[in-house]
Amino acid sequence: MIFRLVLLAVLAAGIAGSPATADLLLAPDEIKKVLRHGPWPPEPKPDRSNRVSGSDEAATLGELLFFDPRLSRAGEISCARCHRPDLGWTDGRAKAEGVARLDRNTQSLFNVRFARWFGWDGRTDSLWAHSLGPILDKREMAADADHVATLLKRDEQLSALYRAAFGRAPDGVDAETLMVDAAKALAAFQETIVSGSTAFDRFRNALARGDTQAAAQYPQAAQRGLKLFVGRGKCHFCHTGPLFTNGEFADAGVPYFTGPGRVDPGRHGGIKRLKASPYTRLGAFSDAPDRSGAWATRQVRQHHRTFGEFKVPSLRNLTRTAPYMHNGSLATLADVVRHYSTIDLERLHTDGERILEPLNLTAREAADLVAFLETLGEGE
Amino acid sequence: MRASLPGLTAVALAGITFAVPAHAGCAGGDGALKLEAPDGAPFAVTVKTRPGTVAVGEPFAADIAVCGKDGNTPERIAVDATMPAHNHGMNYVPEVKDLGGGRYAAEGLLFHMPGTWRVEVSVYADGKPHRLSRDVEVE
Repeated sequence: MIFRLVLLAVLAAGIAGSPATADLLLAPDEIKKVLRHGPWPPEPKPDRSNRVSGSDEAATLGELLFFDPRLSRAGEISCARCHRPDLGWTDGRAKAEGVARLDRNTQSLFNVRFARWFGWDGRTDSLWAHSLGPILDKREMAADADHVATLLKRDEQLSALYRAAFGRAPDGVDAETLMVDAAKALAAFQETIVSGSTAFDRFRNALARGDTQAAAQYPQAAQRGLKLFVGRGKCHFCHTGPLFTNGEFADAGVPYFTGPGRVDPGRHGGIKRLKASPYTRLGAFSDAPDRSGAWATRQVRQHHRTFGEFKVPSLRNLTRTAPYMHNGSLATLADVVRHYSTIDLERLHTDGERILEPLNLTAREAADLVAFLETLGEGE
Repeated sequence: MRASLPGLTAVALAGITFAVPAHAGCAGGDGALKLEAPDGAPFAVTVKTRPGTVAVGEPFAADIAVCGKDGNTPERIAVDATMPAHNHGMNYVPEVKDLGGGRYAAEGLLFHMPGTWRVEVSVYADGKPHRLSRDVEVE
């Protein structure tokens, strides 16, 4: 009898002290912020400025073009040269290299379909318009409309795929339209590059359904890092929502000098290029009859502080897309965290946002933040 | 069709009739925010967003009602928003359409961060701006 009472007492103590709630470190207001970073993935919406957005036939054509070095003038450089699927759809280099070296880091293509602006400076407002850039840039693929049109017309397989995707043969279509159509097919393929669920998503979903036992399985270090992320770190102001980016631009105190006497104007230059481009949602090549989605291009505000601002990148799959920042100057996630921990406010734009300040993280806090960021990667 | 009643001006427009009495359309309520005005301000303003709940990073529109005191009528309005704690505003300039009768529609607003945003409407009369504002929390 006494043994049974002791056993019952031990069992009761075990249940009361169970780790189900004890290991969940987040306060209710923190949980509320965490829930906004999901669910993943967001509902995919077709790009109305691209009539083949979501088309399997176009994606097939786009995938072939993506890996075809004949898209470049010299026949040596494909899109996959810089956007390697085995390297997180980037190239592992600090700065991109086509025919010549560029000034910026290659951005990953993971989840690119969810963006409003494209490129570190947001110079384009659609994925198809942005796909034209490397094709035409003399430092990258150095091609032109005639080159792309000739490729589509002369290659039997590509010609057949073009007809299947666009409902007409490429013959008789002018070169510029064919080039834009090729870019739209490339975009249809890139739209399929969506990252999968992560350890963070499983944690977030467990919180959403009130399953504290499952949520408590999320590593303690990552939970501590997440508390910093939505709290003292202020990361969540720019790295918002399921994508962990607000899709806009910020000055993160990373130097924008590209060489002696040369600066990278960032978003300021991007807006100028956008306004001058014929390849926007406002232009003749947009397939949206009412130019829907063009409001941002029409109404984007240019002001002094955009000089030196760069796109806020998504934090998903960061472990696969090193090095980091617009110039690839930070090799590891620990370096990124150290950058924000010791940020030099003198480097920030005088007219700019007043959000960042040195976090002065302890070694443990820095490691916790890295541990959290690592859980945003697939398979981590 | 026009009809005049003491203290009221009724306007019929394409089958829709609405009244713009002094302040009656600017009382707030029903999801419309009444903006704060300096003492003695000659206008009252309410703002109602479309959709009703604003999501961070998503564009939204605002329906704005401006009511003048003592016969004051607005020449035009400008709409903007800032985050005072962060020292920045929106990245887009709202497009404002005058619907007549003190009613305006502003399109292309976007709050790109969570936190406290200050919605600002400047009402121009006699070439001078009268600024009204209201802080809102965006999650």
